Amino acid sequence: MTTIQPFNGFGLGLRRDHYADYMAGAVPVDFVEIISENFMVDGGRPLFTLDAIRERYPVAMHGVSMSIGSTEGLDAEYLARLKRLADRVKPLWVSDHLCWTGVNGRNTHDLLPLPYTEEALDVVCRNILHAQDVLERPLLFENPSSYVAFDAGMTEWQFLDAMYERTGCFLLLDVNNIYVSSVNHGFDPIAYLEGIPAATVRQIHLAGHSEGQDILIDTHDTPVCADVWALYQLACARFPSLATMIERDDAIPPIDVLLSELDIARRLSGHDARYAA
Amino acid sequence: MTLIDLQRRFYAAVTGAGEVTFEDWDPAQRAGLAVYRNAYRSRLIECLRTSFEKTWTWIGDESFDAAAAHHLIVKPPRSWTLDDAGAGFDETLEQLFPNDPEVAELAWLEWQMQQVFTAADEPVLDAAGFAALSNDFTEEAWTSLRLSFVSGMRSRRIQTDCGAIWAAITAEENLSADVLLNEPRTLLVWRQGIAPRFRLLTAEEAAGFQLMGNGGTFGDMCEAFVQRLGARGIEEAGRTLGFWIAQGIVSRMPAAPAPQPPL
Repeated sequence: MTTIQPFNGFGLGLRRDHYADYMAGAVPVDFVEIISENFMVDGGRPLFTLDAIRERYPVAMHGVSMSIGSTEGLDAEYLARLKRLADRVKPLWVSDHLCWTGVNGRNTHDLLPLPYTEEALDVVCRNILHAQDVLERPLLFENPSSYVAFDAGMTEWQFLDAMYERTGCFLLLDVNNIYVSSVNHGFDPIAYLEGIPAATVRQIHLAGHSEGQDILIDTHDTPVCADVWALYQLACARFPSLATMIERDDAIPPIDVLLSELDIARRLSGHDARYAA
Repeated sequence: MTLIDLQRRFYAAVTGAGEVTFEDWDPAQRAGLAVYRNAYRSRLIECLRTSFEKTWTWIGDESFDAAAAHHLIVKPPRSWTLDDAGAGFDETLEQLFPNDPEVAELAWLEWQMQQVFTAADEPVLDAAGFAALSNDFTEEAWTSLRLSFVSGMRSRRIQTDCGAIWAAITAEENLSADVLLNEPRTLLVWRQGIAPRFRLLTAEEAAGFQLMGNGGTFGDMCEAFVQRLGARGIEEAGRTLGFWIAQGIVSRMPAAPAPQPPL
């Protein structure tokens, strides 16, 4: 199985509101990230649009439905469709989340938390190896935001490290998710970053969150907050080769607003600002 | 507790499927669980609102959200894609609004428009292609002509002019006329290029469409049109054939079935 070469760059999530900007090739980013499921269709306008954008930008594929923590194994039809899309897009990489989404053949369509136990690690690693085998490539997995934590033997970062050791998968670190979960569950986000081996990280997500009652909620509908920017700077110092992306899923502003936010990431990263089109 | 037991219990708590107690969970865990529970309901109702935007507008927030919540109970999501959460919502609405058939029919139309939007791309027979193929047709060749329609196309019999409701809502106009049709008609949904389309068929066209969709010949269709319309039936059948080709619903002209050897 091939590895995933580091890609230094700054990108945005591809959202429908901005299709016209991308189709015109006028967005100064190094890559775009698509939600894989939006394009795992048989045909029509979504694939027509994707093909046109793919001609202009490198694409990373990011999924929400693999359910890598499923005790029932992975959905074969899902994997087959994902493989077809990856063969078409030839993405920088394919990623999904460390979570489970349903049980007994039913789906909540949410990224539900796993207990970080040896049993869960066995299930997750078995599923990752199967998915990587079907997709014929190593995958990236993202740390989720969580609102419930279970008493378990491992921290999340120890669990991610063990996943990498056992399966050769890589990590997509969502810095906002680290922050949200650290506040919700009372751990030190810097210890989290220090616990992640530098060689495992290929991409970073940055996003905003909202404050619920005594809990932070990962809503992706606000700008990145100051605490997350500070954590991002530490992450960039620790992980020298990675791609950074602003992820906005709701209350999507004009593209210029997101590009301004991406410029902040370029400035804070200390990495070369790659875009040179 | 094993992982699968935990997941079953968590799923039941999030979706409200079954009685689950969490007395052994601390207040922070229970507060967190409430976030997932609220997100489940709001995400799926939002998904249905997006998929059935016009039906939502037609029946209003309260009725729509109640119907959506009911749908999630009777048809909980099973597919890997959230888009499938709306499958069968028209059937749910048919049960909930038995005296308002336009509600389920409008939902059916919205659902099918989405299905054809992402249906597989397939070649269609355009006017130039048809002209080239039929250039040297004899009368017998015209009579035995068969058509294959594009596979992504959908049709159903409807009692109400749900298409007029669609158009009125799109144009943000009030619909004052009675939406009940004088008699049931066939509604066709298909994709022309990358744009989903729908239209009501005339009685003649619906009969011809059904006939040729079931393997009948253009000769059979002409005969049926003559029976309905008299002498102008042939001309009308030709016009209908041209219309189908122009609208991109004909994929090819299959060869006539080979004669079967006598038994």
